[in-house]
Amino acid sequence: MSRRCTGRSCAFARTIACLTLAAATAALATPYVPQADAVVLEHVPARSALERLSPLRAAVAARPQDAGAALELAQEFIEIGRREGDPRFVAYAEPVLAPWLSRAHPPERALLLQATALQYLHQFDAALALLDRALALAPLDGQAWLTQAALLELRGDYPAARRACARLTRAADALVALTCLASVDGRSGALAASYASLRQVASTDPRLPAEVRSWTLTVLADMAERLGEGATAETDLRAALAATPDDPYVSAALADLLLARGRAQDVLTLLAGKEAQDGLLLRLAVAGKRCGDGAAARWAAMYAARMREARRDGDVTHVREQALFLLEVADDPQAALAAAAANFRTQREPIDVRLYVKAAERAHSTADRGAVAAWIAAARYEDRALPGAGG
Amino acid sequence: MKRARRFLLGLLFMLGSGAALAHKPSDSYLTLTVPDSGTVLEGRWDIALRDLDFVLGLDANHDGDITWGELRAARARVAAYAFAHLKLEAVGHGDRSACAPELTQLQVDEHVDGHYAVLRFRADCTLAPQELAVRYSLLFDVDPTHRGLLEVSAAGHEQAEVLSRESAVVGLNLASPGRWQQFRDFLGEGIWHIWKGYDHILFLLTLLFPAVVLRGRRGWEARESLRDAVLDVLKVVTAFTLAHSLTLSLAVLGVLHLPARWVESAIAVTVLLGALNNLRPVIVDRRWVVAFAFGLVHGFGFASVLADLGLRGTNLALALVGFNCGVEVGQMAIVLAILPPAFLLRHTRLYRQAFMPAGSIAIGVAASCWLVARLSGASLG
Repeated sequence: MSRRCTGRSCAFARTIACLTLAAATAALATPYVPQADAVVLEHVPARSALERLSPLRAAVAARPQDAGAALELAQEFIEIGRREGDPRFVAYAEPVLAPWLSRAHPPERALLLQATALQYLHQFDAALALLDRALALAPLDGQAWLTQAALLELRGDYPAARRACARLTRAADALVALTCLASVDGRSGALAASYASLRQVASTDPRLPAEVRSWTLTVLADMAERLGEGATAETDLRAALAATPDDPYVSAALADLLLARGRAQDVLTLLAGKEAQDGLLLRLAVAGKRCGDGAAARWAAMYAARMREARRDGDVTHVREQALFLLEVADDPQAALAAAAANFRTQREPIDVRLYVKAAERAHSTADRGAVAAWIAAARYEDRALPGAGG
Repeated sequence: MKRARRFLLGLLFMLGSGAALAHKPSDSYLTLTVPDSGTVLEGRWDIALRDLDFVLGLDANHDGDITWGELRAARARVAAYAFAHLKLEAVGHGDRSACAPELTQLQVDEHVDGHYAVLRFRADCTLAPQELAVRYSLLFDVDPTHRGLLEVSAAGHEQAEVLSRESAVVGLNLASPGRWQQFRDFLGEGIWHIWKGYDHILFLLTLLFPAVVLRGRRGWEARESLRDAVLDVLKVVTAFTLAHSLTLSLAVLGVLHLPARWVESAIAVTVLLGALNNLRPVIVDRRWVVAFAFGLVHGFGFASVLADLGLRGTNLALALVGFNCGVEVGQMAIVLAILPPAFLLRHTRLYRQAFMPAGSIAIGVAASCWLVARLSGASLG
């Protein structure tokens, strides 16, 4: 006798089950022996990074007491994981950090790196707790303040995020601190003013690290989009992508903007060949469906299959992506709303707010529309791209 | 410079803080087939090429692509690495023996997150295993989130386990795979069915209400001795159990078959008659006869539930006994919940003149509704 499921969770489960049935059958295909030695089985984009790291890996293995080498290796792993969108590299950092974290007095940088890894795995509370410990040891660590600010902003705790940004003015470069503050203020009642001031100080000075330029540009793009200046936002994001072409988050942000502007075809061009990364595959599936691309069904099935595998592994960190998939690809507004509402409880980036509003509209849920409207009013959050937002 | 580099990390994560863009951490898929006779296990182990590349460096020419040629050249290293992290041990007839895996064929397969090397292997245990111990340690030293998804098929039964760093060792009973588990499952279903199937509960209630009273000249009168009340309940419940066990077994074994709709309607009739008997007593002392007769009907109802659970590939006797025991446990729980308060309240007019008739009327009304619905083919529960 099957336990009955009801309501949203049931709709969600059903959608996943239907979508993954075909893919699951395909996934259990018979193993084979490739025709020729030259057949390429797998592309390993991280290979060159791994080659570069092999002396460092050897050094860590040979000298387990060398904190510098271990922490550098852990940081490299986390960065590769983020760049390649491959969580296993973040996991590789864990055994490297573990001996240092189990000490009575862990080094500050080990705490910071572990917090960063946990942030990646969506364990936000644990990450914040580690950051508190790190900042108690090193109150002038700009990176720790910045990470804390990012986490607090993500959760929609703008006053606390603002305090963390303010600490940056003493600990970091002025542009970094200003970008941090403008980003937070731009989500809590001062969008136009923050945008204008950041635009004024933002520099494309090529001597600035590419990552700083890219980050400032994405913050500007986000604000421009919410002010209704989609074309400017696109220019900014394309410039950000030029500064950091390997950053999947910039690609995803640009794809989302293009989709919002009704340019699905451009998304297919932008993300061609980037199916290996789940987040980008998802955008391909959305864009492919909108323009009736021949690959759309395959992308949707691939994404659904990866989602199913991840859920089997107990993954709960991708509710945002699930909501987007259910809303835009699977056409299941009820299930999408359940995911978007769950996601909104932990993440309040502009994309999360949009997803929640859109899902509530499509599912005709007055209660959810009311909930998000109340939050928007209380936080004084502004976004002209939201349905129903005044000009 | 160093400082600038360090600073970048936070910036990188600032933008993407909310979104880990990839889902799937590392998994391997290990399938073991235990032969019905003999000592040699057949195995298939799918390991992600990306994982093997991280620990073994498969990409020999460092061009970022792993080719079939590169994988084939690393065949011995792959096998040595993999089998160094998998210990299989067979237990049989009081002996223990290690089963050494030996690669028979290297293939590839495509999973949702990329290509995997498929290691086909045989492992000779030198004895016919009754139990199998699997000790798994692939990648745990470098990737604590890695998991091995194990499937063992033996004697027509599949067992699945997830192996992780925290639970890296499992023992599997092959001789009677999951028999106890099967029994427990059916036991649970039996209990669940009694609780869920209101008609059975209500029928029991109609028989239990009068257990603490006697029919006298002025209507219902309280029974004096607890012993008599318990004895009465015991007779009723035993008769009901014997009857429904009998028809349940006959139906499941295929000796007797009745259409579900008529069975369900007949069950509603039994509930209705049970309720009416409390209002206008026809049979008072021999309610156990009623319990037996009507229990025969309820048994057919249980049988259709059991058939819905799917009995293919399970031990029929086990399923029958398990389900029946579950039904008994469910019944006893109801009896234990009803009898003490009914016995304590038996002297009160509330019980005899309000609760018993009102309860019986309510049950009778419900049963009538079911009867109509079931006869007309609608479904009201």
